[in-house]
Amino acid sequence: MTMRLQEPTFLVLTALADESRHGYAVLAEIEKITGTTKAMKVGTLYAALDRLARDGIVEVESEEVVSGRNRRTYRLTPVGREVLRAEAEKLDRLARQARNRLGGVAARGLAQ
Amino acid sequence: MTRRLHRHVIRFALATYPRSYRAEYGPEMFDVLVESGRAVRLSTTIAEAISLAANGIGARAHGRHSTKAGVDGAAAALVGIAVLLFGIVANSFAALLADTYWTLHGSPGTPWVDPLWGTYVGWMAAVGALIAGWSRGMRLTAWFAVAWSLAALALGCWDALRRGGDPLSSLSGIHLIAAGVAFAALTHRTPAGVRAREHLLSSRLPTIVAGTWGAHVTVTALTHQPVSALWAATITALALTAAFVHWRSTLRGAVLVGTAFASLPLVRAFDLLGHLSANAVLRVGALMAVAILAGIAATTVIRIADRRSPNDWRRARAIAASVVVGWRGTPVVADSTAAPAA
Repeated sequence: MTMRLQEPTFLVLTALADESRHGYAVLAEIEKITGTTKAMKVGTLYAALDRLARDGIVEVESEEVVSGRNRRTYRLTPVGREVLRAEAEKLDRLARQARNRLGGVAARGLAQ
Repeated sequence: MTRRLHRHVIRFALATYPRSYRAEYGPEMFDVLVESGRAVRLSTTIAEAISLAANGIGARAHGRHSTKAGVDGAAAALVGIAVLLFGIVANSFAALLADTYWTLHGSPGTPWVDPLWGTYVGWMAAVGALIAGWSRGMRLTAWFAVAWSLAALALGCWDALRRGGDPLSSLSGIHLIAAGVAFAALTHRTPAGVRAREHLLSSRLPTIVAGTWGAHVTVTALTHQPVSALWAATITALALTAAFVHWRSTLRGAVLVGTAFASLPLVRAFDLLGHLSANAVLRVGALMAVAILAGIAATTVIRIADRRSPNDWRRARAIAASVVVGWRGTPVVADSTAAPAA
């Protein structure tokens, strides 16, 4: 399955790749992955989750009531795993290309 | 005081979202903002509020946001109609095979080709694609089946169907088109990959089909006469659909199933003068009770499966194996995909 993923979407999927998480845990995981705080706004996160749920890429695994409030736990679907795997491979390929070309430029620089 | 002001700003920004979206996600988003400490400092509060307002206006502008109830409802309707279509097509398919057999063996009757063969094959493929979770295949085959039916109607092939020649009075053709259009339209609303396959179909469609046919066979055996398969399948599909969209309807579904199966014998129990014999009252009462029990059994199995995680193909097999070899307690199947929430 191929589809273009924007960075916030890719980050959300990556945060959910190893285990199911609720909204706050997804945000915390994204901060850990990117190494920056406030890497994603809450509005962006929920817009991404809503779009991904509509497309069948993530789904609500469970809903629990914590302190009288509903808290959903999200997880990747099998389709979502495929999408993330394809995107990760694509990015990996592109990164390898970039490294190779940078290496080539550096080698030419040394030769001169 | 400042904290209250920040919370007011967030609530104000959340008000930009459509009402249904707010009802679905609003409290959760607010909690995440508070828990993550993003509604404490003025700069982060304003940045988050601007982001919320932008996304809220975007959600209003596009009018595209999914609510759990909406998607679940559409998926449930899709499964219900799929069950109905499967029942109709399976019956028609069996009749066609019988016709073909007798035609080949030189029995009375003229060889003929049902103009709706393409429709039947299309619906079989659509239900197969639904079970496989292949969205595009489901859409293509569903619209193909609808187009084939309409073409048969437009080309005047109805006469060849031996169904009276008048499509409007021949419900067997029209309902196929109506249900087909509804099914095909719903395929665009429901992402089959998740809702239909993982969330709904994996455990429930086999259960629904098993429940429908189990009740059908029970009633037929008790009454020694075939019940209207179409009517029974319709109400059964509706009842069981109701059961898994959380309408607290185990009992309601069971009563509907029972009513569906018992209604036809009830009508037949009256004589031409409208009198109901005492014997018929007992027979229909017993029949109703058995049918309701069948309905309770079917909906209970669905609800048991419903409490578990959607990784159910293996689980459904485990349940089936337990039923076959004798009930040995609740089957426990390791769920490799479900991990504890962080």
